[in-house]
Amino acid sequence: MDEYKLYPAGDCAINVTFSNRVDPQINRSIQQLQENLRSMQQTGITGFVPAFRTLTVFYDPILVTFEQLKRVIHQASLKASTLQTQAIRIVHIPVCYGKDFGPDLKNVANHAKLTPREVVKRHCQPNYLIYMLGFLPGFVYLGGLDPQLATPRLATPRLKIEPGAVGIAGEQTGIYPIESPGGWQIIGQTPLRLFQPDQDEPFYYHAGDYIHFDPVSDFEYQQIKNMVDEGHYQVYIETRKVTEDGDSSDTAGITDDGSGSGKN
Amino acid sequence: MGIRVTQPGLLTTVQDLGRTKGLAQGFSPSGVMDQWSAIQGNLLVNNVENEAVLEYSILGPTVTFSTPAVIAVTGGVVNAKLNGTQIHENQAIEVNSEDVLEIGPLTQGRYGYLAVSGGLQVDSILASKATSLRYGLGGFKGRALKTGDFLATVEPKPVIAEPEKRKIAVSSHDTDQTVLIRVTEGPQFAQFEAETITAFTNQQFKISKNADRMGLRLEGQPLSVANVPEMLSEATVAGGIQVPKNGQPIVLMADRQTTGGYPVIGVVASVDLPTIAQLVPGQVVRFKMISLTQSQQALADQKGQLKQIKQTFDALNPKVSRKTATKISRLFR
Repeated sequence: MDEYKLYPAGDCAINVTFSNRVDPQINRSIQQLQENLRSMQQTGITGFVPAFRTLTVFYDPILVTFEQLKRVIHQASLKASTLQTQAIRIVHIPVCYGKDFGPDLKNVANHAKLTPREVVKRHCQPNYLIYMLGFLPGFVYLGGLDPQLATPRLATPRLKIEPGAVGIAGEQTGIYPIESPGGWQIIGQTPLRLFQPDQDEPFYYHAGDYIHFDPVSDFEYQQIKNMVDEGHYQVYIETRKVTEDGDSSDTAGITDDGSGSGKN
Repeated sequence: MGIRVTQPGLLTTVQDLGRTKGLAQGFSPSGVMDQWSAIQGNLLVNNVENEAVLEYSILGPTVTFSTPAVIAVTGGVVNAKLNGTQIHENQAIEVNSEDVLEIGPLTQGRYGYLAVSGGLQVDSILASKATSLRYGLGGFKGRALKTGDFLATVEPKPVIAEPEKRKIAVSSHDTDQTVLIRVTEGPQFAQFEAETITAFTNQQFKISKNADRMGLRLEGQPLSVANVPEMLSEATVAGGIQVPKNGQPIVLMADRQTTGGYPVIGVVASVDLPTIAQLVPGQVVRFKMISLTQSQQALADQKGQLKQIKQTFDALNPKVSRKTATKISRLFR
């Protein structure tokens, strides 16, 4: 596992801090450490928040001391990887690009000096790694956007962005899971209802999962939306094995074993 | 059974101790600003500590009860009246059907609480009844209460014996101009220059008008962040003191975002979070650095106090568990 340093973040949290860069390998270490700590079921740990280079471990200092926690984190970091033999998840998000669904697709195309069609093609290419969630419930910070698609935010932010809007802001791409104001260049819209407040798992994805955007037509968008409204659309969640020596430049060493599975 | 809102007051919301299970998915914890007062309210009416209460700010609501209940008003100082007669705060009060409680304006502090025996019946999202106003989620329809709203309450079990004996002696609020707030080192503490650290603890900061449930913006001599490296966003914590580019610190509170990218110089000690939450714009704070051990000891002492209060109240309302009852019955066989 990568090297880390520990910094207290107040009297009820500790930051496990890795190297200062956005890197799939670091993200994997964070996920692995979190998984190992979970499996140790240490009394007093109350939650985890993974981010780009940190895993923040929340704890109740009445139940576990800072010193105990430091030792537990050390043990967890030594434990052999449990994740490398596990499958990673790729959540497929259908997106209708352009027209009313993506009013800023032309902006992005002009900025990238590409045709709108080429922008869509490039946007649908990668498996985007979810480094962390934040800003809004279910809002993903994704890595892997084609640098040529990077476009500055709108000069004047919109007061209202619909849930399901897919956009680009600088070198980031993402989806608005709930309605919000925002300055992102909106290039498309998913018919999925991303936030399901009555479920134990209110979103289809976590930090460490991947997102893949699948282009759909207006007609398919409406079909999927109808199925979503009727409650029987199956979100396609693909699982792949992770290897240590995989091609880490793309999706952090994923190989396809073809074991895709649907999930409600 | 429940309570009807006749006057909503200002920013009256349903809150508990926060949606802490959703942090990793980007859910702001929300929850009460002053946990100490909210917990005391719940203990007074024999609720669990995390039960939902009504939180109000600056001006409390007027409500009518549809059934008898036991209530408690805690937190910021008010002159609450039940059917026109002033009632005590920090004490269990019996109310009857059609009784009218007028909480009125806060005369000290910033946030007040109304706890009702049995608790408030709203749907939980990720195991919390807290309202997140920024995205209209949780609590009562995801919003602050309005005139005419009817909030269902849960039937309390068991009936509270001798409510008049359930009271808590509360130390007065800090109305001083300068209030000392204890802090521990923040995760980026070591990245600030020594002079900045000195400036942070030596000077006074004023609570600005931009102080809300999300955060308290402070005003003072700007703290230098010129030599603090740019950082990647990481998890925020309650009481985290961020220093943005303009050098004016922001103390992150209940409605904070779950992640942030500004360096955090210090973190308010958990025991002092209720104190800083209750300060009003114009009041002044001074930060005092303490060690993590000191901070955690102070928190343990505070939890000890709550435990004592709970034990005193439990003695008033003896509860025999099924296990104990079985043991006792065995003795007589």
